[in-house]
Amino acid sequence: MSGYVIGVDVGGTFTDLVCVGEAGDVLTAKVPSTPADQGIGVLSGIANLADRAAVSVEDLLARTKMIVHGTTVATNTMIEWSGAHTYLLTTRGFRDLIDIRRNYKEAAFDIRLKAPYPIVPRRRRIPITERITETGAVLTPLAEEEVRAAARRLADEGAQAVAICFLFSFLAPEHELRAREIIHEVLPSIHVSLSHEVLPKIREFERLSTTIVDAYVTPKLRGYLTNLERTLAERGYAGDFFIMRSNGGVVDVGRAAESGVQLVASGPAGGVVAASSIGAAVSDRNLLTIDMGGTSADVSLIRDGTPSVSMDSWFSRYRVAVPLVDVTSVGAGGGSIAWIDDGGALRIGPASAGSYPGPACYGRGGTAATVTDANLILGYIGADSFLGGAMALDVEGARRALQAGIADPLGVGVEEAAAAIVRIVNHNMANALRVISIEKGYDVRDFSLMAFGGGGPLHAAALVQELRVRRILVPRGHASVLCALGDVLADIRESRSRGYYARSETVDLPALAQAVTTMVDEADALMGEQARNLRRVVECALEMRYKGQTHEVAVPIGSGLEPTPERWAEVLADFDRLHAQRFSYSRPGAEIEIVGLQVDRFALRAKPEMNGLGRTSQATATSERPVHFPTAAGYVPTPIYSGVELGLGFTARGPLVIEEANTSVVVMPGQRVSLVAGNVYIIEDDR
Amino acid sequence: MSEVDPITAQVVREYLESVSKEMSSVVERTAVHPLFNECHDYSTGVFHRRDSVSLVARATAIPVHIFASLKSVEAMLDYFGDGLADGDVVILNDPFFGGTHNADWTVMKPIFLEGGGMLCPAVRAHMADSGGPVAGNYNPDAREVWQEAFRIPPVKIVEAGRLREDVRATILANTRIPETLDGDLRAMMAAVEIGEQRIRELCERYGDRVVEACVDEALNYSERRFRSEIASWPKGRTIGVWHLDHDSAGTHDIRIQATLEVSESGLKVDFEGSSPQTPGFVNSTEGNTASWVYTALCAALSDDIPINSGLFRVVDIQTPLGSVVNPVPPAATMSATGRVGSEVGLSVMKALEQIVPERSGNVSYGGSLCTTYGVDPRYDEFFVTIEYGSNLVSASAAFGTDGWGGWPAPFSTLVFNTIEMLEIQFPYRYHRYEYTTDTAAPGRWRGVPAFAMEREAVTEQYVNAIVVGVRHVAPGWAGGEPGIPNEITLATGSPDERAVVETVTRAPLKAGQVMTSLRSGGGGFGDPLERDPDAVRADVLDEIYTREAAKRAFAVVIDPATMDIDTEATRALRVERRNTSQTAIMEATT
Repeated sequence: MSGYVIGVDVGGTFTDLVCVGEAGDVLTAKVPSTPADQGIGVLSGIANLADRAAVSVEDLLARTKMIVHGTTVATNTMIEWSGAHTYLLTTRGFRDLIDIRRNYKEAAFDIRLKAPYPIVPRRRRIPITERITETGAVLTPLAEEEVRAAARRLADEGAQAVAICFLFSFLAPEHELRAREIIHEVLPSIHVSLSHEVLPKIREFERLSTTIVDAYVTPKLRGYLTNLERTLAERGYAGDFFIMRSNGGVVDVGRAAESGVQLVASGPAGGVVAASSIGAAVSDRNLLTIDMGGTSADVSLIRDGTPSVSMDSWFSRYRVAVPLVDVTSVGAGGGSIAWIDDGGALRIGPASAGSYPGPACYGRGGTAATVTDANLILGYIGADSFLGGAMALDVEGARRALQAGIADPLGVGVEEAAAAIVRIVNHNMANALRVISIEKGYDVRDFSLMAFGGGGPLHAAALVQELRVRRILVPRGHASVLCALGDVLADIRESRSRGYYARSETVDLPALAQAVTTMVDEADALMGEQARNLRRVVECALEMRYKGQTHEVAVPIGSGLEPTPERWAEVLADFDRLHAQRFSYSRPGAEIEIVGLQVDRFALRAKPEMNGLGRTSQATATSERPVHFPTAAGYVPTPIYSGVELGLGFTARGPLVIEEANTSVVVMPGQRVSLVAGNVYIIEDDR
Repeated sequence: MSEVDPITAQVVREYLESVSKEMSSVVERTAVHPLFNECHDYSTGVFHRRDSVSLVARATAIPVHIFASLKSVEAMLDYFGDGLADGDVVILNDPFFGGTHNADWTVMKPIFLEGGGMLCPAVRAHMADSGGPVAGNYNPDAREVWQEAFRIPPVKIVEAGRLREDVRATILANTRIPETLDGDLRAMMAAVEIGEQRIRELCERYGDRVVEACVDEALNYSERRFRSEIASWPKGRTIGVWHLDHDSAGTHDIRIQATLEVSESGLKVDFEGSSPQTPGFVNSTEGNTASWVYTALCAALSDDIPINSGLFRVVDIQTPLGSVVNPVPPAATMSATGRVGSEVGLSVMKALEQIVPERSGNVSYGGSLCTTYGVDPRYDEFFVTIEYGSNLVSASAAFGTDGWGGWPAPFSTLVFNTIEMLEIQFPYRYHRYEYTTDTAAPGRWRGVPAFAMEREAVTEQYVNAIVVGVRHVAPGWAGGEPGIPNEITLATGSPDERAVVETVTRAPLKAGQVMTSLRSGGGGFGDPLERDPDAVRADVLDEIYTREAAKRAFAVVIDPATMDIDTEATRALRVERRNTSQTAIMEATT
C-alpha cells in the first residue's frame, strides 16, 4: 500500500479533488457537485482521479492512506432549512430568547424585515423548572417530572432532535446532563445537543443559538457521513477518513459526526488553511486572502501563519459561536450582475447569473452584464482559453450586455463600463479587507495578498494599489482547487473552550492552572487513534479583558500555565501588550477579568512534498492579445503565457497574463511576476 | 470645484462608509462600559465642511446620535471659528451646543484640506455617568439643564496633538465612574484617530480637491435616490399628531403635531401646533427633533439609500422656538432622546401613514426607562446601569411582516446584554424574560407580543423609573390595533408592592424584592379580519394567542379537539363582523 492522501472539497457548483502521492506526484480533478447526495459527486471525483492515474477505483482506494473531506452538508442544511424536526428544553421564564436574539436585526432601518426562519417555533420550546446561579449553585432543582413529560411529548410528536439549554449550565452542567438521561430513557436514540457541551461559555443567547443549530444539522450530517464511510468501505477503502471542521482542523469522521455545528464552514476553511501553508512556504506569514468564485468573493486574514478564527459569526441569521475560520463574504463573484440604481450608481450583485444561463458571454441566453463579461471585454479572460479552451466565450454577447445594461445608462463606452465594473468590484474587496484588518487591529500594509478561486487571480493585481499590501501570491496549478488542497494539508485539531470567571487581583492561580491542564487532557482524550503517533502540540489561551469590558482578548499562554506570581505578571503584561496592539491603548495596572479558557490541541500531519509541474524557466509567451489596464491608457498588447509551461525561476515583467487551469493570473504594467519554490507566483512592484 | 467621474465618486463614497465602519469597530472593541460594547449605544460618522457642514457617511448605529453629531460639528466650528487646527480633538455634550442630552458625548477630529475645506471623523456615544445629582443622569426632578449633568460646551481635549491633562482631569472629576469614563473616552479618541488616518490616506491618493468633489457627488447621489423614491408619492399636505403621556413634572398629554407637505421640491415638516417647552426633562433640542424626523423617514424609505446630508437637504424642518421640539435654555432635556423624540417620530409617521400607508410602522422607542444603581458587595463597587432589557420595546407589525424581536428597526443596533453577563456584572437575578400570551396587537400582521420581565434585587438597590405609553399606547397602523399599556411594579408580591405611576426616583428595592415590568409589543398593521387564518392558528399553537382571543380579535374559529380551523364557522363569523363594522360606519356617517 502506497500512501496517497486525497482531499475532497464539495462546493456549490463543483466537487474538487487533490490527490498527493508519496513521491510528491499531484493529481487534481473537478467534477460537478451532486447536491441531493454529495457522496455521489465524491465517488465520481475519485473515479475521475483513478482514470487520470490509469488505475481502477478499488486500486486507487487500496493505495490511499487518508481521505480528508470538506463538506457543505451542514452548510446547505442551514440554507435550505432541511434539518431535523427540533425541540428545545430551556429554563422556565426564558422561552423566547431565540426570538428576541438580544434585539439584533440585520437591517437598521428596515421595519419590514422579516423574522428569521424558526428552527424551533415557540410551540416546540418547552420550559423546564430549574435554575442555577451565577456562581454555579443550584437555586431551583431540576423538575424531573417536567422533563419526563416533555420526553413523552417528543415521542408522540415525532421529534428528531432536541436542544437543551439552561442558564449557567456552563458552570454547573448537572441539570442538562440529567435531562438528557431522562429523555434517553424514553427515546434512546434521539439526538440531543447540550449547550454546555456544544459551547461551554457564558452568554446564554450565543450558547442557545449555537446549540439549536447543532441539534438541527447534526442528524442529517451524521447520516451523510455514515453513508459515505460505508460506501467507501464497500469499495475496499480501509484508510483513515477525516473531516474538515470550521476551525480549519480535521478530525476523524466519527468525532465529526457528533457535532454538526462545527462543520457549517467546513468548505471555505480548507482554502484558508492551504493559503496559510503556502504562504509560510515562501515566508509570508501575514496574509489577506481572496477566494473569488462564481457567486461571491470571500476574504480572510492570516496572522503569523495562523488563520484568524472567530467565534463572532452569524450563519443563515443564526448566531454560531463556535470557532470558525473567519471568512467574510463580500458579495461579488464572476456571475454577479452589474446594474444601475435609480440614483445613477453602478451596483454589483447581490443577484447572480449563476451557472445557468450564466454570464452573457457563456452564450446560453444570459443578457445581464456580469463581472465575468467585464473581465472578458478587458482581456483578462481569453475568449478561447476559458476552462482550458473547453468553452468558447461570446465577446460580442458580453459587449451587448454591457452596452445595454451599463454603458448606455452611464453614457460611456463599453470598455469604460467594463473597467468601471472591475473597479467597483475591486473597491468592495479592498474595503472589506480593510475592515477585517482593523477589526483585529492590524494594518493591511503589513500583509501580503493571496488570491485564489476562479476569480481571485484576475483581480488581485489591481488591489496592490488600493491596499498597498506587500505583494501578491497566487498558488500555481491549484488556485481553483485550493480548498481541496487545504484538506490535504490541515492538521488534526481539537478546540476546547469554557467559561471561567476570575479577576486578576484575586485569582486562584493553582486552580486556574489545573483547569487548563484538565482541558488539555480532555482534548487529548478526544483525539483518537490516528493522532497517537503524530507529534502533538497544544496552544492554550486565556480570554481576558479589562474589568467591565465585554469583548475578550485571547492571550496565548503556550502549553499551560505555570502558577507562579512571576509568570502571572508576564501573562498580564502580555494582555496589556495585545490589547494595545489590537485596540491602540492599554491600561497597565488596571484590574483584569478572566472570563474563559481556550485550548487548541494539534496533531501535526506530515506535509506532502509536491512536485512542481512546469518545464522551463525560459518559457516564452504563447500568444498576445490586447488587455485593458487602469494604469495604462486603455488597451495594451499583452503577452499571454500558459501556466503549465512555466518552471521554477520563471520571471517576467508585466503587462502579461498567465493562463492557469480555470483561472488567469493578471500582471499589470509596472509589476513583475516570478514563479518561486513552493509553487507560488509572486507579483510585486517592479521598481 | 473640478468635475469628478462618477465611478471615482462612488469609490470614495463607499470608502468613507467603510471608514465609519472601521471607527465603529474600534469603539466597540475598546470601550469599557457595557453600554458601548454589549449594547452598541454609540455611532460613528464622517463630516465635511466647506460652505456648510454635511454628514457624508455613517456606520449603522443609533440614528439619534449621528444626526445630532452634525449639529455637534456645526457647534464646534461656530465656537472655535478659526481657532481649530490639525491635531486638535474636540469634545462636547451640551444639549445647547450641538447636543441632544448631556449623557451623549461627541468626539471630533477636524482635518483641514487645501483650500479651506474640512473633513471630520466623529463618534457620539452614551456615557454611563456624566455627574449631576442622579447616577446615570436621568433626573426626573430636573427643571434646568444644570440639574441633569455636567455641561461640556465644545472644548479641546487634545490640542496640537497633545492630550490636555487639565481638561481630562476636569471631566473625570465630574463623573461617579472616572475609570470607566476614561476608558470609554479613550476608545472614542482611538476611533477618530483611525478615521483621520484613513481619510489622510484617501486624500494622499486622490488629492484634496477630488475628494471634496466626490463628497459633493455622494450627497447628490443620496438626494437623487431620495427624490426618486418620493417622486411617486401623492403630493399634498397631511397632519400627524401624537401625544406624550407626561413629562414627569406634572404636565400631561404633551402634543406633537407634524404637518407634512410633499411637493415637487421635496418634503416640508412643520411642528407648528406642538406644545410649548415643558418644565420636565423631555424637551427635544432642534438636533434631537431633526434626528427623529429622519429616523421616521428612513424607516419609511428603502433600506439601501446611503444616509447623508444629501437626503437631509430635500427635507425642510420647521420647529417653533420655545416649543417642546425646539426649547430655549435652560430647558431640561435628558429624557428627550427617547420621549419626546419618539413622539416626534410617531407624529411624522402618522402623517406619512396617510400618504403611503404601506410604508408606515413603528418608529417608537416607547420612552419608558429604568436605571438601577447601588453597591455590589461581591466586588465592593458602586454600579449604575440602564438595563435595556427592562425597557424592551415594541416592534410593531409593518406591511407584509409581523412584529418580531425586541426593539423596532431604527433601534435594533442597540444590543441587549445577556442575562448571564448581567447577573455577573450587577446584583440582579432574573426570573422571567419572555413574551406573554394574548398581548400582541391584532392586525393583518400582528405586533410582537408584550414582553414580561421579573428581576430580583440580590442586594439592596435603587431604581429610577419612568412609565409612559399608558394614556397614549403604542399605535396601530393602517387599520391595525394598538398595543397594550406599559407597566412597571416594584417589590411585586411583597408588602411594599407598588406600581410605578409615571415616575419614581431613588425607589429602594430591598434584597430579595422583585421588580416586574410588562412592555407593549407595538401596534398591528392592517385589518385583523384580513389576517390569514393559518397564521392565526400558528399563533394559537405557539401560545401567542389563546383560542378565545383568536376568535375575539381575528374572528378565526379553532376546534379545541383537533386544533384545526373551523373554516365554515370562521367564514360566517368574519362576514358577520364585517357587516357589523360596516353598519357602525354607516351609522356614524348618517
